[in-house]
Formats: sequence, C-alpha cells, structure tokens
Amino acid sequence: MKTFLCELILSCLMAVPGARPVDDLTYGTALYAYYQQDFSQALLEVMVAGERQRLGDDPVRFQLARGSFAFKERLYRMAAESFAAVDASELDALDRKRLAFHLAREHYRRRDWNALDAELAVLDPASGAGRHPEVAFMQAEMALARRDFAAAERTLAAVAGNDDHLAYGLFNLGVAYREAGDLVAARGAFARLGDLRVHSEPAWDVVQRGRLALAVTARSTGDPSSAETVLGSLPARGRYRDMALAGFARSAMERRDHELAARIWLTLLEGDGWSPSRAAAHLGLPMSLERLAAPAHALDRYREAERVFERRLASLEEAADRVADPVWVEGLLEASATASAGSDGDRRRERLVALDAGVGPETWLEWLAREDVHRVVMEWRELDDMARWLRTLPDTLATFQEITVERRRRAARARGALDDEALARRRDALAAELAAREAELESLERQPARMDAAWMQRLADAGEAELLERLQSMAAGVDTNTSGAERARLAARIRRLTGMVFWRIADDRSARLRELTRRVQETRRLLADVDGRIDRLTRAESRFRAGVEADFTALGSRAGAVTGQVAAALDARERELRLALARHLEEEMARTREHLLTARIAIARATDRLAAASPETAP
Amino acid sequence: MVIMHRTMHARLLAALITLAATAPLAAAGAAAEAFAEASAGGDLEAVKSDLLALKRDLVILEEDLLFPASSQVAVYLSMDVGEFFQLDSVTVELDGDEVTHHLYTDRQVDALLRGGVQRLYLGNVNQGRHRLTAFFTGRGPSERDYRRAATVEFEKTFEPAFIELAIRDSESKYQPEFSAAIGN
Repeated sequence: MKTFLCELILSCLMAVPGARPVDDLTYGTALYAYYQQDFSQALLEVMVAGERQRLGDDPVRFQLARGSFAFKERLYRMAAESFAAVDASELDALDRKRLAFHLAREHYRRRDWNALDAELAVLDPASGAGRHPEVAFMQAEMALARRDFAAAERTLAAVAGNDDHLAYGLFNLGVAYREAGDLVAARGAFARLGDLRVHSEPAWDVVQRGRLALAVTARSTGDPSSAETVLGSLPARGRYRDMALAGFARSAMERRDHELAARIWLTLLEGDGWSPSRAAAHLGLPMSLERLAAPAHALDRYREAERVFERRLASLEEAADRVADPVWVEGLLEASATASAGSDGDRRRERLVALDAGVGPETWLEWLAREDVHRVVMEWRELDDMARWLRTLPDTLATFQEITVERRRRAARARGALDDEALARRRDALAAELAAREAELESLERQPARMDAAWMQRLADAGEAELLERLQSMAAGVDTNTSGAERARLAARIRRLTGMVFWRIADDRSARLRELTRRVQETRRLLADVDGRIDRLTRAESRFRAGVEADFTALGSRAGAVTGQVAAALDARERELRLALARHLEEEMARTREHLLTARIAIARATDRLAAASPETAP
Repeated sequence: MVIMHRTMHARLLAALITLAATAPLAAAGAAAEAFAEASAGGDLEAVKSDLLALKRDLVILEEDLLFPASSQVAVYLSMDVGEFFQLDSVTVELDGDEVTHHLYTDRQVDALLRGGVQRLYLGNVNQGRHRLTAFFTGRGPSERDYRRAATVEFEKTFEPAFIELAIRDSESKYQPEFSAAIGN
C-alpha cells in the first residue's frame, strides 16, 4: 500500500547503502512534514530547496511536490504554476501519471469534468493508479455530474476496503439517487456506507450521517422497522444521539405507539442545551400526550413549550444585537479556536457560555460548524496564526540584524588582518625568492664543477666569496701594474690560491648543494605558512560575511506589507462572519417563531377541547 | 375544529419531519462538499503566498547567519520497513556531548516509515575531526526493549557536513540495523 500510494502521488525515497545526497535528504524532510499533514512546512522545505538549488538530478519530483503541497495548502495558483512549469517531454511514464493525478485533483476542484476526464484517461482505470481510491472517487463524482449512475456504481464497487474516499463517494451517490427519486438505490448506497469501518474522524462522521440518511430513506420507503434498526446502531452519545432519538419518536408516532413516543420525547427533554431535536420534543411530547388522552398534561406541556420558545426568541434577538459588535465576534472566534477535545473542550464551552448563555454553546458550535461559517472561521484562524507569527517577526529581525552586525565586524577584522600584516606583499616576495632559489639550485645541479669565478661564487660561503673577490681584484692589479717575470710569478701564485679555493668548493659541492636545497625547502614552508594564514583569514571573512548581505529594510517592508494584508483579510473575514451569523440567527428566529405559533395554536385548540369536555373545570 | 385539528397535525408533523429527517442530509451534503476543498478566498491565497516567500527568505537567512557552511553539521534520520524495530527515541552525541534528544509520536514514526526523513539536528562544529554517536531506543524483535548505537567519525571541512542515521531491517538476521554515514 505504501508503495502504491507514494508511486501515484509523490515519488518515494528508496533505501540505499550509505548516506544519500543532500537533495534526497531535503526531499525526505519535505515528505516528513507532508506525511504529518504539515503541508505549509512541507511546501516551505521545497521552496527553500529550490532557492538553495538543492534539487539534484531529479528536479521534477520537487516540482510535483511543490504543486501537490501548494494544492493541499489551498494555494491553487501556485499549484497550477508548479504543474505548468513541468516540462512534459522530460517526464517518464510514472511521472506523467503523477502529473495527471495532480491535475485531475485541480480539475475536480473546479468541476471541469471534461478536463478531468482527459487526465483520468492518462491514469488508465484498469491500472493500479486508476484503482487508487481518490481516483475512483473523482471518477464517480464525474459520472454523477453526468447523471451516469451506473458508471458511478461500477467505479465505487471496484474500490476495496474502507477508504475514506469511498465513504464520501457512497454518500454523494446516495444523495444523488435520492434527489433523482430512486429511493431504493439510495438505500443501497447508504446501507453500504453504513457498513464501512473507516478510521478518520471526518469519514466516521460521514458514515453516521449515512446511517441517519438510510433511516430517513427507509422510513420514506415505508419500512419503519428497518429505520429503527439503523437508528439503534447509531452511537448512544454524541451529536447524532438527539437526531436518532427524534427519528425513533417520529417513527413511534407513525406506528401510533404514542406511549413509546412520549417516553422518547421526555428522554430528549431531559438533556441540557438546545438542539433542533429538543425543539421538536417540546412539541412532540404534548402531541403524543394528546393521543394518550391526557389533554390536561398536554396543555401544560404546550404552555411550557410556549415559554421555552418565547425565551429562546428573546435570547436570539439579544444575540442578533451582539453579532453586530466586532469585539464580541472576535471573542467568539477566539473561543471557537480552543481545541474541542478533553479539558480544552470544557474550557471552550465555558468561554462560549460566558459570551452568550442565552442561545447556548451547542447552537453557537453548530452554527460555527455550518459550511459557510466554517470556511470563514478556518480562514480566520489561519490568518490569526499568521498575524501572531508576524507580531514576533520584528524581534526576530532585530536579533538577526545584531548577529549580522557582529559578523560584519568579524569579517572586517579578518580583512583588516590581511591588510595590516601585508600578507599579500610578503607572499609575493617569498614566492619570487623561492622561484629564484629553485632556478639556481636546478642550474647548479646540472652544471659540472668549473674553476671560474661565476660558478665558484654561487657555491662559496661568505669568506670564500670575499677571498675570491680579492683574488680577482689582485689579478687585475697584477695585469695592470707588473710585467715580465714578476707578472708571471704573481699570476701563478694567484691561480694557485684560487685553485685552493676551487678545490675546497668542489670537494664540498654535495654538502653545499644540500644546504641550498634546505634553504629552498625552508622558503617553501614559509610560503605555505603565509598561504595558509591568507586562506584562513579569507575564509573567515567569507564565513562571517555569509548572510550579512541581507537587506533588513527590505525585509521589514515586506513584513509590514504582509501584516497589512493579513489585517485587511482578517477584517474581511470578521465582517463576513457577522453577516453569516446574522443570517443563521434570522433563520433560527423564523423557525422559533413558527414553533411558537404552533404551540400557541395548539394551546388554543387544547383549551377549547378541555372546555368543551368539562366547561366548569376549564382554566 | 376538525379542519383546524388536521392543519395542526400536519404542521406538527412537518416540523418533526423537517427537524429529524432532512437535517442530517443537508449537513452531510455540506460535508461532502467540504471534502471537495472549497476554494479559499483570493486574498487569502495572495497573503499566504507572500508570507511563505517571506518565511523562505528568513529560513535561508537564519541558516546562513546561525549555521554557516564552514561550521554547519546537519544530522538526518531515515527509516525503512520497521518490522523488527519500533522507534521510541533517539539521542545524538557529538564529541561526547549530547546535542539532541527526540521522542517520537506515532505520527512521526509513521511519517518516517512512509519515506520521510527527519532533520534531527542542525548545529555548528569547528573544522577538523569529529565523532558522532546516535543512540536508538525502542522495541525490538519479540517486543523486547532495545537500545543500540551507531557511530561515525567525520572530517569537517569548509563545506557543510551532512550525516544520515538510518534504521533498516535486516531480513537475513531478523534484526534491525542501525547505521550512520556521511552524505555529500
């Protein structure tokens, strides 16, 4: 299943011996966030990888991932751009299917059935990819949109197991059959849905709704006992309990079992809070009591219902004034943002009671869960999270700026050391010296020993060099100032002395060459030290300069612009929410007025009947 | 009176039917519609895009400032199969000092098993030779407590150092295998 899923949606990371390249690791971190449903973080990882150019040899997987994560984040424009940027000619068969899958999701979102059809054809219904539950769901939805019930049935029948998509697909199939008037087929779809063993909470909710729908449909097809069986399978707790009880009571009344109906209505009235089912119970109970020939009790209950509906109407009117207040609505949103589970759930309830005890937390939570309100609330929460993050940004930027200043200082210090120590100049001088010595050494090693001044001077020590110079000068003097036998005698003596120096140098030539080699090596070491220091200082400078090129003014401006956008979007959501809540309040008031009117008519009728039965005891 | 009685009965029944029968259908219809991922407002999309771009640039700036390449060391964890080992926690020591410890939720383990890679640690070290040891704690074969270590020595150069810790099943030995290797 793992391979099957990841093959279609995103490419998998396969285990390899040794460490993987950094682009694989980066892609893996994006998947890690994605599989934890943190789509925003996953998208951020991919965006950073793109900016860092860490996409490796397979950039297509990053492009597909970027589009997929953006889609999940409801950034549809970014998703479309990412998919459009994929070069289709570069794709292999599997990546083509992946792209088709992502595009199919987008076409489904826009209900562009023809475009969806084209992409689903790429996925090939007969292949493993074509049997993916989400693909099957989209195929079934497309078939329903085209009123092709048989195709939808076939597609969903091929989906095995208890996948969440199957739950949604079956529900929509049942609803479509019901709308088309085919209640028998609708029952079939709802019955299959009711038998699913899904694991996610939203899908489990759909299964419960499917069971309720099955009960309603069963009753509509004249099968109340099946309806009761289905209602009995609903959980004894939770949001469907009241609906199930009301359905039972209604069914009992249809079977003229008014005693049972009255007991069920009473059970419903024992609970706290307000729900549509309890509103029905306020009328259903006296109605059942009337059928049980208890008119006085029925009248009392009708009067109680009248009082309840009056109070409810007054609470709703007060709430209608409150929702016009932006501060109150903001409080409602903040209260609704408290998690619904465990002690947080109790805290949320307390906060809602503090805001409006009259209408009650159940009603507010129900309204907040309605599709039009829920969308706005979710967007508001998302924007509110952004606003919170943006509020911390100036501090973060200030810290980064301080670090930047420090890094600049260190980089400048490294640069200063390079300049102050004149390292570059010293290095050039050393390099020149080294080159000269190496050339000299090479030449001496090649040449044989020669008794000329030039060769001897190159290997002579300081004393010998001085002596050789003096002998040279003396030879010049002899040439100039003497003649004849005296010149010959002195010249021979100078040659003898020069010959002694030559033989000393020639005998010692190897040792002198070794000394020259040692000096060359010493110069090389010196040069390497200077090079090392220059390298360290240059690297230190570049290390400290990394990131310090950031333009904090520009970053601050961008943050300010986004903060403004977020504030405007939050205002728009709060306005939208006030309008939506006012609309639901108006509808609820209309329903309550209708219930009140019904109760009052019933009171008048019951009073008349009692008066007619015994005029002297009539109230 | 009879007419009024019938009207009353019909009104009450209508109220009960409306409340008890159609409510779930409408609500469930809404749920299915919500599943189709209702379009977010255009302004929200624009704001989110701008915010993400800003976050991306800040993440890069933060990494450059706090973890420059010349001293950066990043440790990643990956897992394959996981039949012989159920991961509870990982502790990482760098040159003998504990630098991070992570306890895993079921969801995180699932993300690792599905091919995700966790960036377990991001820090700084001097250039030169270093030794990294990771201790893995969890449940091994036959549900026994299991603790193993993997060590790697690495030379930190001017380039960032990437180290991948990996947990894999050895089907030949019916045991989990733990490794630490240098990436590039």
